[in-house]
Amino acid sequence: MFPALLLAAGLAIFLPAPVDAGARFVQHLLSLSVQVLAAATAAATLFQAARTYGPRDHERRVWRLTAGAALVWAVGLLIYALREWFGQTRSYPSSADAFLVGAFLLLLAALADEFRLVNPMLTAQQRLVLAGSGVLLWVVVIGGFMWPLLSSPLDPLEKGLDLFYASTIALLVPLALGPAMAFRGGASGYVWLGVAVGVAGLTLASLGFVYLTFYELYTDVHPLNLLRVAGLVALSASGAWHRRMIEAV
Amino acid sequence: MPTLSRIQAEALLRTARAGRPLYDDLRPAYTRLDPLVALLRRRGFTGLMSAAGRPGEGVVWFDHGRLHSGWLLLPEARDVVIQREDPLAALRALWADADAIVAVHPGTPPLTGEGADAAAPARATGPPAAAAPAQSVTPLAPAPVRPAAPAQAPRAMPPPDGRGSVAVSGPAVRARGAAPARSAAEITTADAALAAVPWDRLLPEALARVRRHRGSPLAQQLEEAANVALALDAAVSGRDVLGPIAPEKGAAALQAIAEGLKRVAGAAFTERLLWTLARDFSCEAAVKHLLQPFAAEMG
Repeated sequence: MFPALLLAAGLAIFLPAPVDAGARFVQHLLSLSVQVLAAATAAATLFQAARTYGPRDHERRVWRLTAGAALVWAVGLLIYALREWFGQTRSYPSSADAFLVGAFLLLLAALADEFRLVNPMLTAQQRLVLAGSGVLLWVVVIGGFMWPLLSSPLDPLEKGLDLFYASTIALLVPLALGPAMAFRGGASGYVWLGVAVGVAGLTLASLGFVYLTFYELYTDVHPLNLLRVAGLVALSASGAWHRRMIEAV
Repeated sequence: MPTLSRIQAEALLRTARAGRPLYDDLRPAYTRLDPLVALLRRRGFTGLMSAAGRPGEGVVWFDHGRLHSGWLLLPEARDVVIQREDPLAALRALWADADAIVAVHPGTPPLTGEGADAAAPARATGPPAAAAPAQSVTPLAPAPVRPAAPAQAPRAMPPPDGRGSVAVSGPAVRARGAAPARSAAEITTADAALAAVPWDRLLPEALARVRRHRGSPLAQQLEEAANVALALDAAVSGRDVLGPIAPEKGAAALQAIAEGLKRVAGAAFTERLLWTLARDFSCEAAVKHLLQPFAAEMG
């Protein structure tokens, strides 16, 4: 219920564009709050999903790592929001990116761990398709969108971050689709499809963020942020669904 | 060459064929005799392989993978030719007939030597379970393997609703390497609980639930693992069960499913799934054994 409310709030906040300054300020405030709240909610539901497993169960670690990623995301977004509210001029790269990069790395660890678990259930052809789609995504993203950024005279840290955020989609989405393929036909397959959708939303939002920031088109109330909220809501819903599915056995 | 009356032989065959066949309706045109025999011997099969065609009917009995004896039932003949030196000779003649029908049934071979004739009428009158030695029930791991029951020990009777009715008794279902006979008093409540489990319904349902939650690839893998545990007496294929499932083999198959599921879905989920199965099939006592390692893992 709460994730759905967050998504509705995101739709209400990011899509309309208020004209007066007061309304714009409120929209600005709400947009950051909704993102932080969405990440915190995702962390809570994912931790609850992890609790349905035994202490030594492999998937407990996977869901805890995913929950940890959402939590670190929430911290990163909160730092970003505080910096914005307190009028810091340089929004990217910032100290918030340390957390956002950490969140992606935790998510990568979680998905790689789950992929390792389901790997024996995938056929060689499926593995090839996943690897191929990852490479294709990377080529399209880097060659099609990021090349002007990466070839421009940016400082190495910003360029490195650009490359990292742009590469996450190629790495994380195929990894998340692996369990969805392995569990196809079962309720877990749909749960992991939800996770893959969430990961796609988050990685696309980060890709869009660096792209729009480079061209100075990004604002906190940009509709692109709806993708991030949608991604976090998808993760949240997947966690809640997974918990309910196990409890209903 | 020793003989057996046709009536006695047919009664024995009728008894052995009362259960579900392991293989049915095979044809010599596309089934080679020697590889099939080699497979049955390698798997330690106990039962009969028969072929019926124009030359008559040939039967070979297996006892724990060993060739026990061969019968040749010629048309119009009142006695059956028993071939002990070369049991397969009874089948080779039939294999020349491309239209012969070959079947393999788990069952108890007749007594060896002179006792065969005397035992036949007694065996022929009762149902398969009563005719065979008492059920050899092996407790689930990690409990130690107990010896099998002696020939005339009373067996746990299945409840009237048919539970355990598919459990085949006797050497045909005794696990390979199982210890020799034990007294009737040693048949414990746990053994009876295992015998009362409707394995032919429980195993497909367990796999169906795995499929519902974790998808087809895992369910397929676990089905194969269960079939390895059930070999060679029975096989699970989707909702169908081919052949009779002995209690100890059913338990081993469920354990194989549980172990495979635990590796992917974890101990907590597997435990939950097994308990719901136990509740739905009223076999908590039998499943409790399976859950011991999971309980240890859950702390």
